[in-house]
Amino acid sequence: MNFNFRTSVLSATAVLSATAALSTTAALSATSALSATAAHFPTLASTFKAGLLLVVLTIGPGCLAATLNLTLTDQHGTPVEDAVMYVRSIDGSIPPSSPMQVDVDQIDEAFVPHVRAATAGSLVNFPNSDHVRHHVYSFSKAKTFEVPLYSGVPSAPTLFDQAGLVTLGCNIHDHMLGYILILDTPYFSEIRAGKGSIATLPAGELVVEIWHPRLLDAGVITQLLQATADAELNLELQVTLRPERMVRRAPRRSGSRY
Amino acid sequence: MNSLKAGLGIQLRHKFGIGETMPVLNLQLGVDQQHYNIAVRDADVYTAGLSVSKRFTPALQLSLGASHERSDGDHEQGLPAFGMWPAKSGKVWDYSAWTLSLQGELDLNEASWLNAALQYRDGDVVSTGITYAGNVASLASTYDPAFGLHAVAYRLDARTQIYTLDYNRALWRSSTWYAGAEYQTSRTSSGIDYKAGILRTGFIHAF
Repeated sequence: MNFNFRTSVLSATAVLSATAALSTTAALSATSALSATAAHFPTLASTFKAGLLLVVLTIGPGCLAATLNLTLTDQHGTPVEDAVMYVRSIDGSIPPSSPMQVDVDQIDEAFVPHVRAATAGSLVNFPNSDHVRHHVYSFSKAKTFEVPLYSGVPSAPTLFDQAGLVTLGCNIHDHMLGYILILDTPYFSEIRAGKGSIATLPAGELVVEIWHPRLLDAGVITQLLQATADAELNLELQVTLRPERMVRRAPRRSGSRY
Repeated sequence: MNSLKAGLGIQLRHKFGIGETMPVLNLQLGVDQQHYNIAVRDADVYTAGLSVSKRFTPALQLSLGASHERSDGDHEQGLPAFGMWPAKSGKVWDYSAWTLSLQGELDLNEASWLNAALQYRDGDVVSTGITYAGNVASLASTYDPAFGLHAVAYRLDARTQIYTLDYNRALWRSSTWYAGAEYQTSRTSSGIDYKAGILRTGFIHAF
């Protein structure tokens, strides 16, 4: 897997909350980079450790959550669309997630968004905003289902109760392809225009994964990060993506695009 | 030979199941009015076709089909008798033919694909020459001004094999550029052989 990355771990700044009666923000200025992980995770470039102990001593109970910000570009420097970043575990475990209700629309014979993330147990609706009818289906192990030929909004959303990748298709328009990534973690973010952010992360050792349907090796990118309370982690990654598949969608001389 | 074609068509498509590898049955019916700046070629053309297609792999799709075409020409004035050459009906563009076809589509990568087709056509063909040579065996003949004052178009009964190969490239989501070649070889019932080659390129935009 070819990618380049830079990471910078910024210290907590004045956002140390009002709950911290120990107000030592001056000592926790932006000039100190908190990266106790440097010794354990050679992927991080940080070398500053001096501030860490100070932070530990000065942040009392009721410490705030960390935030993880991702900037993702492809091999051409273009911001990546339709990726998902999620925290697989924190210190080896993950808290339970709550179900959601999300939409995957159909516009101009395409699933919109092309990639959707949701938690296990969520309901997904498939409104059809097109002027033609569609027949949505999936044979994926995580969820096999179909919404037979319809227009408008289906009468009921579909329950996705298992974690995993669900690949969507339309039985009428073979070029239509979409993905729903069902996750068993409450900490995830869809990446749009190359940006994504996960807030309210507890402190600990994070296993972060990034998935995109066109990742060159068809896998995930894994990052190990150490989050301290109220840390703001900024991750910049560059990935290599396969070209977008246009063959099925492009018009034919016969007039068909099926 | 500028022309204008206007018509109506209907297509019925039935897929035998869910998924991109399920076979698909296609029925197509159409009628076109063709108008040429040389009016002798004006005709109403009726087509009916039935085909079955199936995607065997993510990159390969094949289809097998049969179609019938019938043309009702507007022109009736034929050639008068001339020496040993008999008079002929002028209904050159009143013709019909059956065609069997085997077509394949192969994806080369995410943005380009090949089309190949083999067709066997049993029915009338129309050719144009500058002599009466083909007139002897023809079913109908008439002057064809599109190729000059002394050109004669004539209709023959023939069996034709047509081989086509096209390269296609998706330029954007709704546009395609293609380039290809077609080779036709015909043998008439009177033993005359015809061969023709065509090179083509074009651009399609769907909206």
